Amino acid sequence: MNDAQISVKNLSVAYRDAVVLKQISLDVRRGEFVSLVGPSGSGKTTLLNALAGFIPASGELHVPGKVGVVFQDYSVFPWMTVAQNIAFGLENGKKEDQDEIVRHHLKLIQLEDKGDRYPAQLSGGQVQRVGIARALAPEPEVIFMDEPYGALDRHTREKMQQWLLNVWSAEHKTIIFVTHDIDEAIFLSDRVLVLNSGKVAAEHHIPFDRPRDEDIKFSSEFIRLKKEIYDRMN
Amino acid sequence: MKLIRLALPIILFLAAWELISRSGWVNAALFPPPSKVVSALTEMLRSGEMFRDMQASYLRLIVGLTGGVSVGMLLGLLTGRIKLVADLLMPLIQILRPLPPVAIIPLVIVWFGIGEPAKVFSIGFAVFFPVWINSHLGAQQVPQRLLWSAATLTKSKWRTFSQVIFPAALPFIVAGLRVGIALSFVMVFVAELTGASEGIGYQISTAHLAYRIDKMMAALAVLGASGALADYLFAVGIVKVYPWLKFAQTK
Repeated sequence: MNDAQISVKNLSVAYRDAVVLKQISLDVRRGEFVSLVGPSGSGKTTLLNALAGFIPASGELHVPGKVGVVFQDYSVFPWMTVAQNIAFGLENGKKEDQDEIVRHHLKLIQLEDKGDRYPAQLSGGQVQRVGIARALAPEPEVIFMDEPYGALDRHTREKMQQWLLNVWSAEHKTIIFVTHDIDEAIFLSDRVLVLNSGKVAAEHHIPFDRPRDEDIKFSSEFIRLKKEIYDRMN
Repeated sequence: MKLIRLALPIILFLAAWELISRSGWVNAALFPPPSKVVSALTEMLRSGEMFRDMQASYLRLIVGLTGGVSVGMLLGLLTGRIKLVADLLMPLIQILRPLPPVAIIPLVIVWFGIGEPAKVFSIGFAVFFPVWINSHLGAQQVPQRLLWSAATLTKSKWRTFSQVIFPAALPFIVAGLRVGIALSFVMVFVAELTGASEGIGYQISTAHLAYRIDKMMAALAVLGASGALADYLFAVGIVKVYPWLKFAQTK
């Protein structure tokens, strides 16, 4: 056994007669930020769902029991206030401690004064932060994010990327992040896996130091990486 | 402004009716003017018979509605979520569903006699179906990702049911409840036609036998107004209890 927190060997997923994922093997270190990119239908969302245990898969699969998840849509419960959403996964401990955790996360997502609002009363970026806070609050070991920023405009998206990096470095979580945006994947990740037709077509280690600044997106290194990944996707 | 917009059509309708009724173009005995209906109503209110009838009908409505809604909602959520329960109950419910609820009344009388249980059962039976089918559909359409999210946050089946599946189905359930409320008013009238000694429906049928068209219309007005008020109170009340529903409705 190595120091991998997530360890997958020969993972396959079949849907009806079609094989969606073919013999995928993958190790993820504790605290690593890994992005899955790929064209539509490449299997990136299926891989995330299989890793999170949402869909049946064959092969060897070692994933910690306690995971968090953030989706693009339907991530938060529209019938709960912001604070109730964050508190939903807190089942242990005293009420005061739970309240303290909720307060901490409201602060983390910069919505301290909006705890009693409903998601419908917030902007898209704010709602998505609530979803992330709800996933973080019970202190999972791994967080799975499926195109969490897919519905956001470019400006909000870039702010949210920076914010996510700050949270990630403060909370020391392992993150598996699905996106179709190559810039986003490179900017955020330690490692980018390119999926194509249900297989890992390429793997790129991202060399940029942390903390990262938006400016790296204009460096020649970044653009070279982007081109390589782009070619692997198409 | 809103009040005027609401009241104006009613006032115009009543005024036209009053005029036509008094003009002699129609038989005033068959079409008594609103003024006569109002005096019949005041008389019925003053004598206390109207209150007695309202009380009797409302009690049947409340008990029948509560029964039909409870069973319909519970079974709907179960058949919508649990395959075994659906396999067991769906064929049965689907056979009963196309029945006009009014058609079971003779059978209900054979079973329960002509007392209160028969009336309450008839109302509950009619209310059950729209509430069940809507709860069923509501429970079925809970987005998968919502359930997956919930599964990472709690292992408790009860919390998942009460705090995720139930609220996700609630907009559908509310639609079913409104149909159910409307149906309960149909059924209380029909049920009171047979073997009742009080109630708004009974009032209408006795007024009919006595050829008191003004009293008939007064009772009809009370029945119609009660139905409209019940629907209004429900619509307002449910948003008070679940404030987030107003966002769900605008979307």
